[in-house]
Amino acid sequence: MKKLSLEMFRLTSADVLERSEMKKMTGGYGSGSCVYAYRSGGSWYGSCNVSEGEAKFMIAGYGSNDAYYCCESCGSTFYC
Amino acid sequence: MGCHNKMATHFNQKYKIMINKLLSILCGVILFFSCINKTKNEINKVDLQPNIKISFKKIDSVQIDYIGNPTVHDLDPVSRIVLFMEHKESSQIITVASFDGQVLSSFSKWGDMPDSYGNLMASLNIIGSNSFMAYGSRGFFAYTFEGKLQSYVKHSDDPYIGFNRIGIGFGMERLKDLYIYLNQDDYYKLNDESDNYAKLQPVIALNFNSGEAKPIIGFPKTSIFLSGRYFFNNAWDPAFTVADDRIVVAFGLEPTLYIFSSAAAYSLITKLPLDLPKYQYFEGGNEYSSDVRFFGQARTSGKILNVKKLDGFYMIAYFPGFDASDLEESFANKPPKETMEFWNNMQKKYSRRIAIVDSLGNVVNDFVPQGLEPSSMLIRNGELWMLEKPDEEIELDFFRLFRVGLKIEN
Repeated sequence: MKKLSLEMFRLTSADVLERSEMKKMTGGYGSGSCVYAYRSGGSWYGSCNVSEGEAKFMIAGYGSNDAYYCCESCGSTFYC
Repeated sequence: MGCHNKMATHFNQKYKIMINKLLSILCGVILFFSCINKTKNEINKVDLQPNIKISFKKIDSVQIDYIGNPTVHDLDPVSRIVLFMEHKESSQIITVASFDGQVLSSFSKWGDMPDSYGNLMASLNIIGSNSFMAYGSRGFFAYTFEGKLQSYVKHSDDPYIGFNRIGIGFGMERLKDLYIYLNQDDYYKLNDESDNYAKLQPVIALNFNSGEAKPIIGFPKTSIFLSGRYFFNNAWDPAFTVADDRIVVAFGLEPTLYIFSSAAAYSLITKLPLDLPKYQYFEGGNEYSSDVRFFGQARTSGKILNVKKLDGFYMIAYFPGFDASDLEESFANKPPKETMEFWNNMQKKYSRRIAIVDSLGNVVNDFVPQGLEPSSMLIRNGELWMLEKPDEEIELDFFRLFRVGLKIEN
């Protein structure tokens, strides 16, 4: 397989994300592709870029109006 | 010689008058400070008397008739306005209501519109007699109570959208011309290869004029987060307040109040370890893990949710944390019905609590406030306001907010 290079994509080094910037996109620490939100005590709590296991665990036991989670193609949600 | 003595006598008399004047001023100053100290000592005496308890009393209330799931963001006793929002998965409707319960306006600033804040990064914050601000993914916005855009400043750096907490009691706190808030940008700085909690600065200062979000406070040297242990995401989410020209911070699950200077270096002034009754919290793992026993502690560990100061006392809202047996059960695989039952039981068993703490860190009282949501504490115009805890069994067509004071009980 041919090795990919920046030239093939006509990218300059300025167009390529640095490692820290990439972490911003993927979530870095405890990264994942899921988001969750739940309502408790009159406030909303939640997190973005978590694993599916974490999202499911955090909202277990909440009613459908009080908690949401989604993974991969979440589209526009109010929390992330 | 005689002249010399006369001059000396005259000088002595002048000197005596001057000394007397100085002594009078000194006595006045001493008397003034002794009065101040007396007031302070009187508060401390109250703190330290073992039979005296300090709890909450409801002073005033505001009722808003509303059907739905309102999330109160802010209120202002001066303009007598309550700002709340109906959050749904794909909509956000802001409502402005008066203390008389009258809805004044209702509109959305979320979604595809030119003056949208994007995704909300903090609770909405009332900033004047007819305006509020929104800290969103698209920048810093100010709107009128009718929903008209007043000002807009872009972020100086693209923010990381981590979403955390939205609701009354969790908002930004004013510090001179800045706003203190938690740092959502922190999380990406850690990774599995080189966790370094010393890099984290969980408290930021937001400048709505320049669009800058500047990290200002990291963990003090004695913090549990610098102990070499590993913690789940959000374990250090700060509860904070600005009081007496100080920034008071509790870093998530760590039961300590850290008090920082509000001057630009934001240096640590003192710390008050909190001896909260039955407080059970995650003290860190040996390594970062993707196991539920590690990340699941985000739901089961004790944590400080809110900190406010009123009449010389700190009020700490906290979740006490699961005991070992419930902790173990929370990680067990269960069918959906049992899972629902388990978490409902846990919600009843582990209520959020309030600890009232004196200026030396002594817990004066610890209780579950009757009919009030502990995490919702908000200080506005020197008044403490809290959200009424709704009855889970009865659906109401209104919600209430209470002004709360401290009650001394023998």
